[in-house]
Amino acid sequence: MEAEVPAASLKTFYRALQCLGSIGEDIWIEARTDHLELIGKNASQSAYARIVFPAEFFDAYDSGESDNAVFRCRVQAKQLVGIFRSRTQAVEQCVLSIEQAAEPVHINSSATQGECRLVVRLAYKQRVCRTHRLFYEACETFHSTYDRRDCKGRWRVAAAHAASWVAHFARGSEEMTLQMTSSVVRVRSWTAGNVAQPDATRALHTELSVDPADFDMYHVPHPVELALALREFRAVLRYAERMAAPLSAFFDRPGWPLLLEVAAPPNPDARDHRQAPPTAEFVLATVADETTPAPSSNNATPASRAPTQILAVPDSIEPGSAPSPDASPYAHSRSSFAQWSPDNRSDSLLATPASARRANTATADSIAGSLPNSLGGPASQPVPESRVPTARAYRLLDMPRPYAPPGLTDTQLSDEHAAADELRNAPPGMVQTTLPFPTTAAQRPQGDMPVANADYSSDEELDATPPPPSKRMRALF
Amino acid sequence: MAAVRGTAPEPEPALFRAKLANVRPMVNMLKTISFRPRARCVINPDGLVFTVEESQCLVAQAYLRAELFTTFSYDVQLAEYYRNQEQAGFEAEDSQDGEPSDVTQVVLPLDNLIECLTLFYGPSGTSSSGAQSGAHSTATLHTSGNPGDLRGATTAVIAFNGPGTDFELLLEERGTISLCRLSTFVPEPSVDLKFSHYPTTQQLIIKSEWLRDAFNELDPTSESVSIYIASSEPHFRISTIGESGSTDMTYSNTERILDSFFCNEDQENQYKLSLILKCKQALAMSDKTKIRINQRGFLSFQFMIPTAADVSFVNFVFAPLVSADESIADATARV
Repeated sequence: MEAEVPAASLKTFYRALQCLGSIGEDIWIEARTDHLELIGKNASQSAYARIVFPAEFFDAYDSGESDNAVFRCRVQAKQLVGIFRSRTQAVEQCVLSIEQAAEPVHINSSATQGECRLVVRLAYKQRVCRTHRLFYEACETFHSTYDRRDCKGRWRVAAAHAASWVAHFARGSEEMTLQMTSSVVRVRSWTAGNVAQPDATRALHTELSVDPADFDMYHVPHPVELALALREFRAVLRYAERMAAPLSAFFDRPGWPLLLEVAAPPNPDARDHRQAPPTAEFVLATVADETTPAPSSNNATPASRAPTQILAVPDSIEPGSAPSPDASPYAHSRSSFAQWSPDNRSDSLLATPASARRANTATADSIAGSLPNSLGGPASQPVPESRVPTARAYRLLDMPRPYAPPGLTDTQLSDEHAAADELRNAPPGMVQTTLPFPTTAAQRPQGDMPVANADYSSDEELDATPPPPSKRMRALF
Repeated sequence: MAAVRGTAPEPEPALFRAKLANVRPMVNMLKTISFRPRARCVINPDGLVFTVEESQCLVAQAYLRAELFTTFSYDVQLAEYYRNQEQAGFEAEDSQDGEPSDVTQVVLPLDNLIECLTLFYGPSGTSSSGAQSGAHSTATLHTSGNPGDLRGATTAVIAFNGPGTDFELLLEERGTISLCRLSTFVPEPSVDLKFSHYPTTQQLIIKSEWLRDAFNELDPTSESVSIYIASSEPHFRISTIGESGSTDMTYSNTERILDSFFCNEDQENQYKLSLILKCKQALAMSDKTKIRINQRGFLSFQFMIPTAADVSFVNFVFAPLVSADESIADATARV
């Protein structure tokens, strides 16, 4: 394989490598007769990227193989990106080639023979030359099986605009949700924090609304909300911004991956890479909902919790679990209370679906054939995902009081409107809660020490008699 | 520690005394070799030479010529007198063979010396004159920065009175005076890689800019760097072999890159990368570099650093790596 990157397009090539480098540790190279593909995926296999350089992008391109054989290899991203990072302005010529041993290397053979190197040769002005010989590993590549034609929702937006959505997200944000309806798009950041720490509730979250009119093309037939990892999305946005190309998205429903494409239309008049620009496609896994079936229908599981397999490799059989009825005593009165579990409090700003956290831990490494370990993860009890994301109310939720026992601080009532009214009328700092059972205020005898109960809604509580002095004094010593 | 006085002390007859209008060039030069805690300072009528040595494979020298100083006085007779006294007092050791008796050698703590010279620098390490750092520095009397080149220049008077006495620095900046005394040490037998003892087989002068790029590209995971100079193309090649593969930079004998080129014999030599990288600071400050390799494979970098409308030189000499299958006897037999 031999490809000569034109000097003017070196920056473009570098940006593509940089994008792949920020997604995963390795870059797969697939050289076909008419184009060169660079493929990357992240460690948890929840993000996939593929950037295709047509043969016309290069000054000279020769895949070196016959039509049937395709050259495939894998190199370390860090090395390849590092080569192009340093000053490329003075480069006159850049040639990538594969040096192979005398005998052809067969992918199926166990050992490679001789010195096989990916050679990057940069020729500068005044006959200064820099040559890097990188080790590569001949291996199989992979492609995504998802087709954008299967996706019902799509939009396209200018890259700079999309980049501004996530630009202000706090640094600790790890996940984001995109809620798309026909009238508005809401982008929100989340931190999958450790819920045991009370400090985690003080993390900054950002939510912003975007008008669909800002999009070049917007077609969302039914409202959908997607939760995905922020890191890879940011990498895609950065690439789109640097390439100054519009970003297109194709999606269907939660659990289905989000397909993104960054491709500038070819400009035949331009003399540089814009004549045959690279096309990039990305597939980002989104967090699945219990109610939606898994996209890969050969899996008979009713619920797929981990991010769906996005790679064309045989799926592992995930032991499915049907949503089990919650064992909480209050389940029949308030369905939402059933979600009170350490890692899934609905009244917590951290209440991403627990599967989102599982998404980060689930390796879904079916290539190795191992069962996903997501089941042993933070969700110690099966948590029903009955909370359909579209019904999640976006409002400022009450911070859970630290010393309130579970069950008493949940503000979602069966009668949501009454709660909403109370919330609105409450003075700041006072948390309104109505319990399903009669308040203890009427039942409690006078003179009791004010127990740490959550019900401060009535003023009588505040005027309750303070504990007798003797008791108070004792507390000091 | 002598007390800080309001006025400068009266000049006393001393072995060596020099006055410096601005310590910055000296500090820059010393920083290029500041990878060791102690440096040997040789004072002779022509100037000062600071030498550091590392693991007997690397010797770096910074030359500060007398012209760099505003006044430079060195009493040669006094030096000889002290030297004779020293040799009369103790058994004359042969370690100083070949050294002329009119030079004074003393070992100074180099990082303390630099710290004292940069006393009036702000916390960022730059001179404390800048408006942003003027507020931080407690040594300055004014908070507003002075315009012009003389902003916050620290002047210094350096004095040394013979072996056994302290090395004195009297620093002054905008009216604040500080007197520093550094303890000196008896010099140990010096390590001399004897570069000039063998004929130079290869020499070239290259613009430091290209060498800087090359050094940035060197693979830090590699143990050694190999330098190959030949009379045919490619004339000059620096290469490393690391974990991810090999990298090499080649230069041709064009006027723009190589100012001068001389090659008697095609040779490739390996040097320890970690030692070679120690000259990065000197390289960063220099305009041009002269690379010389002698018959034994020893490498010399001579960096030309612009200082105060003139140039000064910093010299690095490296011993080559002998490959495993080639014994040291063979290497010396190569001579």
